[in-house]
Amino acid sequence: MDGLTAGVDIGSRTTAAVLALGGKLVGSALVETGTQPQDVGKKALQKALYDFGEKAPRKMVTTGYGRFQFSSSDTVSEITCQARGSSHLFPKAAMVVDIGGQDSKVILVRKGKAIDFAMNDKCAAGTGRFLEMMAQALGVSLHEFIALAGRGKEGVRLSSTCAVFAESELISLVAAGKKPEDIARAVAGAVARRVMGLIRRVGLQRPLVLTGGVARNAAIVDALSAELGFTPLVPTEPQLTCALGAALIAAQG
Amino acid sequence: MKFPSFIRKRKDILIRVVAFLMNRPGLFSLLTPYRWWLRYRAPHPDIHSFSYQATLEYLQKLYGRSRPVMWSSLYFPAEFIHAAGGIPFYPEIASGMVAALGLAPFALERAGSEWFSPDMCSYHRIATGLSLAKLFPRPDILFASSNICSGTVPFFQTMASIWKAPLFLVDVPPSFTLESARYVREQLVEISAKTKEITGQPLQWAEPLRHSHRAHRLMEDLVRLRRENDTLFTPPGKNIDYLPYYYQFIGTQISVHFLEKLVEHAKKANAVPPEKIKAVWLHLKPFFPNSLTEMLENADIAVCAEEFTLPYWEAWNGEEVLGWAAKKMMASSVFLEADQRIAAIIRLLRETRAHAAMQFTQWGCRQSQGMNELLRRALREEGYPLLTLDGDHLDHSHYSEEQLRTRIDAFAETVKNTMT
Amino acid sequence: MTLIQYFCAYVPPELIRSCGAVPEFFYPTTGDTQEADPLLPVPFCPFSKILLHELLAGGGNEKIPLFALSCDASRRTWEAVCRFFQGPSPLALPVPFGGGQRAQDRFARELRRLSRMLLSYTGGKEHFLEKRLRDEIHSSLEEKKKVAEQYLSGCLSGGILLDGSATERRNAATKRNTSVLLTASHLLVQPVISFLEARGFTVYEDSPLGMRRKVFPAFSGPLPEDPYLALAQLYLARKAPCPRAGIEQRRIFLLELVKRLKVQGVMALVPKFCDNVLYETTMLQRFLPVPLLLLDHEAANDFPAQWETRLDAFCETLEASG
Repeated sequence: MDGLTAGVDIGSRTTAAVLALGGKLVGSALVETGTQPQDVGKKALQKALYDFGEKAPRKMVTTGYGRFQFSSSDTVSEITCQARGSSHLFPKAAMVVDIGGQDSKVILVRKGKAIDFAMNDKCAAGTGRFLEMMAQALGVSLHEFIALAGRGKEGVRLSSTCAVFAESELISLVAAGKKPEDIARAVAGAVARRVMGLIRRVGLQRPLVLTGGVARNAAIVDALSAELGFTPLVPTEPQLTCALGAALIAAQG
Repeated sequence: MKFPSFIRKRKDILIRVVAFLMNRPGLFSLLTPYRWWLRYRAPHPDIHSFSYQATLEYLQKLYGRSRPVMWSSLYFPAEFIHAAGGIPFYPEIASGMVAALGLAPFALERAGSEWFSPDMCSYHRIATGLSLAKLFPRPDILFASSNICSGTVPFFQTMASIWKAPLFLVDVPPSFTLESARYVREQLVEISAKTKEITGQPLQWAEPLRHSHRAHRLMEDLVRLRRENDTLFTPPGKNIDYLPYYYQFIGTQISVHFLEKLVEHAKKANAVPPEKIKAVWLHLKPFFPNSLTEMLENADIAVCAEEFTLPYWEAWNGEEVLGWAAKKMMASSVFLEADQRIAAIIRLLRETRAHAAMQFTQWGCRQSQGMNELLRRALREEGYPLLTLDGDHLDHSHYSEEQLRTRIDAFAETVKNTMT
Repeated sequence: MTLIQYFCAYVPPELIRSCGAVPEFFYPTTGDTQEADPLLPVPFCPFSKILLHELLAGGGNEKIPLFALSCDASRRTWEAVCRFFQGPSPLALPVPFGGGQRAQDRFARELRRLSRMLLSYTGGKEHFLEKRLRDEIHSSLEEKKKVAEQYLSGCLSGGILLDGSATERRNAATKRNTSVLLTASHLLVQPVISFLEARGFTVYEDSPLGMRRKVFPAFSGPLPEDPYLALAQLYLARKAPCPRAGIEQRRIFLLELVKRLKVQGVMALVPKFCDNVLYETTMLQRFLPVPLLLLDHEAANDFPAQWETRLDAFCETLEASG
């Protein structure tokens, strides 16, 4: 199909492939990145193409951490792709907050383009990886953790910013007899506060779009909404916005 | 640097052997024929060969202990040491060289084994590790100024304790007033007298001042030339590798000769292509082998000026010498006090017509990192984006290539978006 | 009434009082750093973050913050407060390095400058200020002397030198014969003292919250006639040294404390990213004649549960070694 373009976002945890045609998302696939990013991009793309019934896109742009491993296409950073993809879904978006596996990003957007951004420092606090570590420390899976956080009540607070100290603080809370659901909620609150710090660095703008895998986590969305004082816009498939942006950039040539 | 496994297994023995050899000054005279040969092969060396020869000669003098070895913190004037007849050794600069040679892990490990935390400045940790292993040259005197950072004073105190050498600390107030300049000068007067007691000779200022004055002129010429011609130094940030000529060799002919060559080099260098993003490089950079310069080039970022290679002090103009030295020390506040630094950076961005500023942060450096946010906001108000890259200049364990690449690429894309 | 809020042991409350203001030492009430997180980097003094958070979260707080500019963290935090604090302009007191005569002269000049700033807030007059200051110093000397003697003879254990609510003491189930020196910064001092006292141990505190502010061990010789010089000498050269005073001074001071208080071990609470304390711990490792326990921490106000095991184990080994 002539106008079919693809965007592949090879993130640290998941890889997304999106097919776009005439400015619309027409196909997608999502797979775990695993340890071989060079293969996973191809795998995600093939899956999306297979579902859509095509063999190859006309043009493709790759983004995300593993983008340079996938050498057969142009590469664009995930900041630009997120800005493009999110603005496509929410044309008035002024700010995009993307909480990914390794990085959280706050992007200031104007007319679909990133004009400023802030990212987490090199430690994991405030990222998806942080949530995973905390879930591990509680002895539950990430899915169970999300469910737990949803049931938690306020009153417990996690103040450490370093993931190692936070884990230690979490163990202290367990030892102090706090309920796992309240602790899980406190973890969500810690992530939200951390992201809020990044948002303040750039300067809060509305409408604000929340993307990335963590945006599917209701506890995080609630915690962030509480910090923001309003509910952010969340796309139906928040993990695909970056790849969608890449596919749209590919379409532009 | 990777050693064969049989050597790695006997690392302790190897280190002791190396330390033994490093502490045999006579051995370093063996370098003389090699230096002659180098000079014979390249009587008119280019800038890189000159730098190599100058470094070799310096190391020979330093470890050969031809004169007293005087350690110094970064903003203590090297002219003072040259006037005192000493060989200056800036442990922070030397730590950068150690990291560039890939030897930092050993030094960091050695310091770590003596409880020097990984959260401390890695410049200081490397110097500590190599002092504990007796691989750095033993100081006869140490000089330090208090204003650099909270780590400098205890670091130099620790060095004085390890090496059992006298430390002369100059307390430098943050802001310049006649009173504070007098305060610093009085300390320098006292230190001059004590230094004279140790070396047995009075400070001879004439030559160091003459060379310092000339070097300062050349530094100004270089800055002017780069601004006028939009000179592209490649790879980006390369000028920071020449830091010894801007600091420890100031006051000697070596610095003058080097800067003359650098000025010539700048005259011939290409101009920054218009599609490139012109960035001012703040603070220092990672010295261990890394892909940063390649990433910057791929992202179309050219470094048009570096904060640390500017002539930040006023050249000596015939005034009373210790008063001038005090003023030179106090002029370093332009790197250390938020208001002064921010104003200077904005001026530099304007004068170089740069698009942006970049800083590679140093994990253990509270004083520079602590003002990042104020700096970022102030630059943003002036329309200049600032990219801060988290990492460590010498400790490779803080380095994440993919995180850096994402940030650099994204930064370049956003700057280009605002440029268009 | 003008309230001056300070947090550093180099600030002389006598000067604040003589200028007609009320000094109030800042005790962190929470471990929160939320307001400070966007402004200060991750590897930064945890106490400064809490301080900045509390100042910014307090909004137009009428208390005037006074910063002793004695380290990178205080300088940077002060700069952030100058820029973002909604309340009255903060005051600053640069603190010179060293305790020699020249440093004392400079500190005296800084104190004089500060007094003029304080008067501009209180509306006080410069007439008789020197006399008032001399009276303040004179009336505090006896107390200082008494506290120093009592502390150094082992009579002031626990959190007794900590102000306000921090003086609460727990009664031990069983009293033991083991005593320890707790050297710490601003955070977690009282919780650790309470924990150890509840287990029957005697704790001597060395922190800016108490001992380092109130104990002036170097009492010999008269003070200079000029009250500013007298204050400068008291706070630079006669007060119990803090880690910033220099590794050698601290080594001598801590060894003397260990000897005089006859403690069996030393516990050091190490705030992450405080260079002065980090260097001091390397010195302690090298020179301390008694066992040492290092406990590092981030911004926190609650006692971390994992510390229980470490503190218990440390105390048990001290008891076992007799």
